[in-house]
Amino acid sequence: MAAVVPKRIFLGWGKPLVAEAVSWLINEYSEGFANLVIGVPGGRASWHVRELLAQSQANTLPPPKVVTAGRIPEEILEYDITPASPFLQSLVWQKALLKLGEDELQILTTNKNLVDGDGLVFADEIQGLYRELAGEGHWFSTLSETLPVDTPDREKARWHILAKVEKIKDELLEGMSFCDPQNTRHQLIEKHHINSEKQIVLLGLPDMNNVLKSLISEIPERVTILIGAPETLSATFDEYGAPRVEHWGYRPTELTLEDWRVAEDPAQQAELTIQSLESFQGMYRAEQISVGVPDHSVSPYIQRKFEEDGIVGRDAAGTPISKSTPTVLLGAVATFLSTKEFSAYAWLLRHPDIQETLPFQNSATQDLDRYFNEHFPVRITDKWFSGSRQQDKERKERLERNYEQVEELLGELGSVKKMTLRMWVPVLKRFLETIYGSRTLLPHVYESDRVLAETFEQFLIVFENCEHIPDGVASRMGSAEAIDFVLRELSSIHIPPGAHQDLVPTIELLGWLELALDDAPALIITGMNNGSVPAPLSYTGWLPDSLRSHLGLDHRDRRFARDAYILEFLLHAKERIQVISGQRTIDGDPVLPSRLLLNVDEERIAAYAQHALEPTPPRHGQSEGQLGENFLFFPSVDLESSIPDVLPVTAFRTYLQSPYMFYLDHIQRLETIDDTAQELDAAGFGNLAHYVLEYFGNSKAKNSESPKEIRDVLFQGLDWYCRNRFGNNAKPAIDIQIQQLRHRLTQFADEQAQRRSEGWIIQDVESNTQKDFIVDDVSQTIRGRIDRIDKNERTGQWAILDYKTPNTVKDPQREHKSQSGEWTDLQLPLYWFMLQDLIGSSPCSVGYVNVIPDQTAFMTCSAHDMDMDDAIDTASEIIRSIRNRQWSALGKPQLFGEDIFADLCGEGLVGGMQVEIDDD
Amino acid sequence: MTDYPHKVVLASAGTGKTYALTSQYLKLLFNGENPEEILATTFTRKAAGEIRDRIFERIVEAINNPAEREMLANEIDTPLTEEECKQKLVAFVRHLDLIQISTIDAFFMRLVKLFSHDLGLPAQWGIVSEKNEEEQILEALASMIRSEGVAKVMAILNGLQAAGKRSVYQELQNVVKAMRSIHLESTLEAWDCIEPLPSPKLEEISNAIAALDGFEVPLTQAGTPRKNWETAISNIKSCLPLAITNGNWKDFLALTPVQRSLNLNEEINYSGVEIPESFIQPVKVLGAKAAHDITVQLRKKNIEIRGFLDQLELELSELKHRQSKFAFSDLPLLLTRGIQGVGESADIAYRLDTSIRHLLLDEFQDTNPTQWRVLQPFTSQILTNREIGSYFCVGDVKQSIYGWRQGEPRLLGSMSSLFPDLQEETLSRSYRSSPVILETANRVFSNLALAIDVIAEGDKVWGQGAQEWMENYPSHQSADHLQDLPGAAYLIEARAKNAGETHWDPLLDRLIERIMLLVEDRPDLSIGVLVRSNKPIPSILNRLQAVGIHASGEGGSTIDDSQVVLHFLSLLHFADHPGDSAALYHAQTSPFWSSELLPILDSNDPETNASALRSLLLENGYGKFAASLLTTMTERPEYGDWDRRRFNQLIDIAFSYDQDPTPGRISDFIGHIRNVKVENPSVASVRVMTVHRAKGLEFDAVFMPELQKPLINSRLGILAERPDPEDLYKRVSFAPSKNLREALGGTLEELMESHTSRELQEALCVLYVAMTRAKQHLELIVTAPSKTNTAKTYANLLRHALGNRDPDENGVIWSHPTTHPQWASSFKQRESSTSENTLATGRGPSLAPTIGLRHLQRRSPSDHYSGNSIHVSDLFQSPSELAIRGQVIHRLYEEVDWLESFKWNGDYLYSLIRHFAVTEEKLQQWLYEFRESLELSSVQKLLNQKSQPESIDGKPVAWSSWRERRFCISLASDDGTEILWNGIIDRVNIATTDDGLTTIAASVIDFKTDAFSDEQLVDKVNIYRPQLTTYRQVLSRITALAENEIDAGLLFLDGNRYVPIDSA
Ligand code: SF4
Repeated sequence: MAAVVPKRIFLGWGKPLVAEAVSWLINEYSEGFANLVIGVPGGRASWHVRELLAQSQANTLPPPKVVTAGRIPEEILEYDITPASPFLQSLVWQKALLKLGEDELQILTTNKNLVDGDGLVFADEIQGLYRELAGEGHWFSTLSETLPVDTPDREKARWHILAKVEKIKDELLEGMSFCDPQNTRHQLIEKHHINSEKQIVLLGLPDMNNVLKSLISEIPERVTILIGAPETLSATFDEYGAPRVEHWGYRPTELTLEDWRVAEDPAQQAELTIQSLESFQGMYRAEQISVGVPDHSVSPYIQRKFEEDGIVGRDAAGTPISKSTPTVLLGAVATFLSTKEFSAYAWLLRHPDIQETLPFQNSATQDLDRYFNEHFPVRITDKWFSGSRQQDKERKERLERNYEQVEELLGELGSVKKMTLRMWVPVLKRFLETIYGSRTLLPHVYESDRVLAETFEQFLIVFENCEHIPDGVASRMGSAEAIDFVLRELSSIHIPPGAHQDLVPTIELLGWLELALDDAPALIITGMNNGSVPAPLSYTGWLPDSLRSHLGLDHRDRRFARDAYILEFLLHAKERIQVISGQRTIDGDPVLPSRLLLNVDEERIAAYAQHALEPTPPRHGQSEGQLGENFLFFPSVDLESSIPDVLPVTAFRTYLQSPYMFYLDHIQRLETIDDTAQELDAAGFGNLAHYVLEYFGNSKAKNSESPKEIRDVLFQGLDWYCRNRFGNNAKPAIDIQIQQLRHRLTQFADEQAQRRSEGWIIQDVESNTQKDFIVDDVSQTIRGRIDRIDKNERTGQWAILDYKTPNTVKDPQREHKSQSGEWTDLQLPLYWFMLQDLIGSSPCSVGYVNVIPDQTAFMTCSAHDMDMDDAIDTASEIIRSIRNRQWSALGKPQLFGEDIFADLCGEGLVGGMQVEIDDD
Repeated sequence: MTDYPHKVVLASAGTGKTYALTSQYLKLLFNGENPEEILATTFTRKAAGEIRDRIFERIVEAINNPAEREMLANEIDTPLTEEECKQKLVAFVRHLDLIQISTIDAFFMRLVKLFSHDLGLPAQWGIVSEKNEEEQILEALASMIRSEGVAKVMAILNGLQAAGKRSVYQELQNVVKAMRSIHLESTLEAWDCIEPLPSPKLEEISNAIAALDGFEVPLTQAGTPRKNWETAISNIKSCLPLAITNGNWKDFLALTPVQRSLNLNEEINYSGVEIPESFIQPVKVLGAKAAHDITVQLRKKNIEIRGFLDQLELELSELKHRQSKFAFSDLPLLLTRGIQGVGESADIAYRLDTSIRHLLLDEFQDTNPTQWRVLQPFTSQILTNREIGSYFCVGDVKQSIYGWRQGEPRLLGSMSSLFPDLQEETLSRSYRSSPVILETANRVFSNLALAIDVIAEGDKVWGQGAQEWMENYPSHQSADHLQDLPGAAYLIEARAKNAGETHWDPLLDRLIERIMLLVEDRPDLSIGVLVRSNKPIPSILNRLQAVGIHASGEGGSTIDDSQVVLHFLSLLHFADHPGDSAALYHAQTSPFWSSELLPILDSNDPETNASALRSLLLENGYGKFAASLLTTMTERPEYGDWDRRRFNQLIDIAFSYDQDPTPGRISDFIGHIRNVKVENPSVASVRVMTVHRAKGLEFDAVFMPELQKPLINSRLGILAERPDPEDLYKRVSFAPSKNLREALGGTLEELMESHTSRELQEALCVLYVAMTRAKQHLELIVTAPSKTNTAKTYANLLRHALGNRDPDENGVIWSHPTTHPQWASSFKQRESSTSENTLATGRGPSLAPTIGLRHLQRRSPSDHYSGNSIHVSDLFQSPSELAIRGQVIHRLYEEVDWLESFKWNGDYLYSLIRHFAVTEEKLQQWLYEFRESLELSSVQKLLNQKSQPESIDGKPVAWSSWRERRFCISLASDDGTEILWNGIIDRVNIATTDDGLTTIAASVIDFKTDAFSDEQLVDKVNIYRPQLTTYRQVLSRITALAENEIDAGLLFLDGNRYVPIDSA
């Protein structure tokens, strides 16, 4: 075949490529561009071409069509049958896969879970693989003939099955009157169904695929390929403008070491980016500089550094749509609908757009948190619990009303119907409209409005795709699945950055493949690392490099040649260029620089290799993080705060440990709350026990000497209480904890019976007691809730008892005084003091009832052994200190790990309070 | 091909392990092997990077320096020229992306990725973070409780002696922590290893009880019954019923005369008399019964726990698949379990796209058998066939401190017996430490058996353990060039603790004092303070900081040790939980509250403020949000440099956290910040870390203050025995408490012995690793014993190994005889490498002032008619049929040049609109309507060529039409900014001079298909006017006509109205 080949035009590489191309176009097409299609690598480049044309003198002519290269076949070919959208294709692939026998499917994947979303992801992978092969004219069905002879049987079997899937897929599509755009495209080209008079100009496409190539080869006379290289290098490009591996794979780079900086980690790459900017010495405006980010994980670090310096880093990659408010909302809705879990509800309710609609906004999440910590619910059920207190009832009402409101918002989404995706679309639209419908967006004014508008636009596209799915491709599904479906389709979409409108210095961050068609005269490329440039090939589990190369697919050497060409192009086209490589990835993995940077001849290799290993020293040395004068942690207190009229007995223990903690707890009355507990904490467990013991103390059984009778009442109390508090919807561990408590109560029953037989009678339980304490002639009320008061019918002795529920025995004496004799708690002495009127001069013991695993221990001592007078003096002393507002001493507060009180007390801060180290 | 010897290299600390490995690599490389066929693995990312760097460095040095080249040539037995080295480097670099030098985890990761479908993994899976792994376990436990039911879990808790304990999860997690990894590595039968001991007959038991009942208590010389004996008998009587009925023998076996009767120790007297046979006999019967009961219970418990762990594993595996998140430790398991049949090396080679012909395994002693099972096929293929390639592994049994990760040092030991072809090589010449250090180590480890004998009081198991360890200890020597390197080594005592103090108080005092002594002269020395556990690190750091010594942790630390970070986290916590008044208080009292945030925190209602914060976070992400507070934080005097650094780190973490595409709860982020460890960018000269972290590092001076720890942790969880290092655990059992254990003997005793021996070995390894990190200076700091201290601790081991003497006035118990106390100051000061420590200034880079925008603003004239604002509700109206009708009609009008020349062709016109998604009926109807509309007077007037004026301003004109005229043009807007206008004009009637060269007039026609009432017309026109005005501007540019020479109007087809936009 006397080949007519497309025209190749070498535009040189000393100047910005798009600008050169546009001048060429204007020259070449003085009549106008009506029949011209220009193919470029990406959307950004297509806008750049349009911009330059719109600003040129040729802007009065009808403009050309500028499309991304992948769209060119669609511009030129005419389809008889509607091509299936990618979305529909995935569904059909999934369906085809599921039509395989189990044995056959097993050969492709042993994952049993292919019916739902996971299956769709797998189908997407197969579809992608199919597309990759189709791009070079291979099909699953023909691959077995093309495979190398020594291909392992395991691999042959996979391709064989895939051929079968491909056939099923085609049949399915045909049955629905759709065609597969991949193979149809090939057929159309083969049959020369090219019905257009259009001319094609291709710009900046060093690696077009076979579809495009075969299309070009059908109409070479109508195609021009613009290449950013001097004419003298024409032999180094093939007829389609691709850099030849033989040349570019070996051509040493012209990068100089002065233009290459090595950073340790991504943060330092950002630092070096700033340094590189400085090295331009004010020669460029921000808009004349671009930053390449082949490794996108570096991008946030750069943006952050820019921000510090008042520069906007405009990331051309945009932000993933999954971060937009409505997407997050729908995600939360789906999770809630599919699980009905309390945690999902708590998450949904926290979405600002939901919260705005609630009747009781000003307590919505607080109510939920409080409710959670009382009832540990797993799921949202019809029943919301309430307690006997008025505030509990009011809270219940609010929770119910809010829930009703949410149900109303969800509307039909909340129903358990199974419908086709098509039928769900209007429901989803209605939901979004309910939430967002009343808003008016000003996308040209507010960035957040623009993102929202773009997001909705993407939603609408996906909705439309869903509406065009023929029934029967996707099965009927519940609302949550439908949402998941939509979100999955959206997941890969990024909202492009807004056009900046203010004159703020803005630097663009671009991907590797966008750099060649970016005309900024100055460029800094970060992330020039092995694994980022050249980018790794995909589908490695299916297509090892040797197979890729055998099949003529994109492969390692070809990519290298292409990228080597791009780098050389950039080195020539830019006035200034700086290249940055890193030594560690964001995950801390050691990483080497890109092979492109080390692609030098033998004379330079040693210097380049050495350079690669030596990070550029940070120019401003990093701060050692010196602790300034202010590093020592000081609690700050508000001395104006008033002292409560009534102090609980527990406040004294707190004060003894830490006056500051006392301040936080009893002056500021702070509390901390979250909703992460999986089981009762120590206090919760203790309260549960207290409740049951109170129930017992008020029952007739309190006078019983029969362990069984006592046990029965305790269990009765426990069961009744737990039923009312937890229903059967509490977190799984709660049930176990109840049983653990039951175990303890069994032991308690035995000990209690024994104690009763020794003559002890319960006089009062949970007795609320108050007493005024006169200190310096001023009275201070002290209040306590005494767990239990016993009196011995035989000896007349009193006993003041406090229930304790730790895992091991607590000794009242040791709890109250330290080894060196300092008071650490005043609880029992104060109880004793408060009960003076009752007890008078009768003998009295004080102590704990340790309701602990495997035993219950009554640990008491005589009140006189407690040194009551000294205790009361100490209490007076404390009241005096409190009045003097001595609140800021940190002491040694008892802190339980990570809670906010620990933070307030500066626990673990450098310069703050240290956690004690045990001896072992 | 070249024949390479297969080698196992036993390399003591500092003897150049990495050097040996890289030498081997270079040898292969220079012999022409393909880099992609050489797999080198190690355990940490750092080490992998180091190996890679060293290979590069050595080639570069060989190029630059003839002496280095000579050395390399010797090392690899191949003469080298500079040229060859250069060529090799060029070639090597070309394969950069294919070289396989990585962590073993990364290699497994690669394999699993290639075979993920064959292994049944979900399509998109990833590695779970450490924190989330814990959450996975918690969740699996929760669903296990749900599925197993309360009773079963209670039974387990009972078995764990955890009945009645409050925290269910804590108890269960303890089991998981201690046993999960063993469970995964054990056979089913292993858990049924306890053979119940035979029980005495019932009769014998009752006889024994009767005998004790009637036992006559020995008398004192005065003839009274001995008190102790009486108590003992009464104790026996009180605990026997429970023992017999419930099998609870704990108390019985704890009684001293019982223990002595059972011969558990050699003592045969009790309370001054020899224990009579009439006592011993029945006690032995009961002892046998006890042993029987306990073994039965233990067996049951073991099986129960195994069942529990089986179930947990099921739940966990399901959860991992559901979440698509796996742990690194799962990978080798997945591979060994799921890849059977893939095991064909050809299959693996195919997907790896290379065969692995050379294996280089680093730190081999840390390999665990699961990992080994994946590597083993590669190994044996190479080792059984010389043609294939080479095998090289290097490690040091003495440095195996990863027992808790199931690291199996015996694999290294057994290499040469497994594969007789292997050449064994031992390296004991240190390139790191001075003679003082090595002689100290030699002294400790050569006296090991003696010292252990003293502290373990002759316990055989301990003795043997020590002996075994010593077998792998060759006497260490400094390399020749280090022979004259001075140094110091001390065993130092801190004062005893006072009442109310912890051990640590005096230790810290002494430690700080000793470090200061050294640092005073030589602030440039690198100093490592090495401890056993993470716990004391913050305190040590704090103390050092307090005396002005810069110190840092290693392997990073969490950033929540700074006030500003805590303030920030409280703010976030408040946003999530507005009811948390403590968080609110903390945030409110921080400088943040009054800063940039003030505008959004303008409510008195916490809930409203929190919601506003959440909204802001949702919109901006954490990184941007945190960064926006940076200015405030930098300006506030409340915060110091430390806070500034930490806050900057927080921002970095937040930005990378934001990369995760799916936002979760705020608490997840807080948890992340609390957990993520940040490397200190500048390494302080004093570093405090665990011995595990220190592995692979070296310091000029090493301090070890945490020697009071016991060598073996007395809290025993589980005993497990793996007879064959390559194979699974074959016997696993709970460890019963000490008293019980001793009564049992047999299997349990064997398990116990092997456990003790293993633990001891590891403890010695820890000591060895720590001591050998030192180059010149070593201080071992112990506390003075409060009483006589015979505990089996590191401290006591060292005292006995180094000479148990009283300390001198400086607290020195022992120092190396050639210790040169002033070595540091006399030794030449190295050049300080630390750069200037100035905080980065906020000064931005100098850029030329911005004068324009990078991109033109893009607009389309049709934007106009919504007046720039979008009503969201409009968006969700389905594209109505009306809208589609409009598109159809437009498409059809595009076909009409002039009515006169328009030929009706129904089929053709239909083919143009066929693709619109409405029924054919509709399309036909619209086609009909289109045909009707052509008759409208307004249409006739505008679209009949004849209706157009023949001349304008007296000049004859020719009319032509543009339909669907696309344009893309840049126009200056009122404020001077350029806007890229992009769009399509429905129709333009163009009048040109007769010759067609000059445009005289033009009129823009915009077809509208809206229905409207007369009242609405004015509104409609107003809405569309800006659009038409823009069209006119565009057309003016295109035609060079003045704007006022261009007509523009709306043609309302449904109302048969043409409205020029200039009309009012
Ligand atoms: S049961 Fe109750 S009193 Fe108890 S917490 Fe629930 S709502 Fe309040």
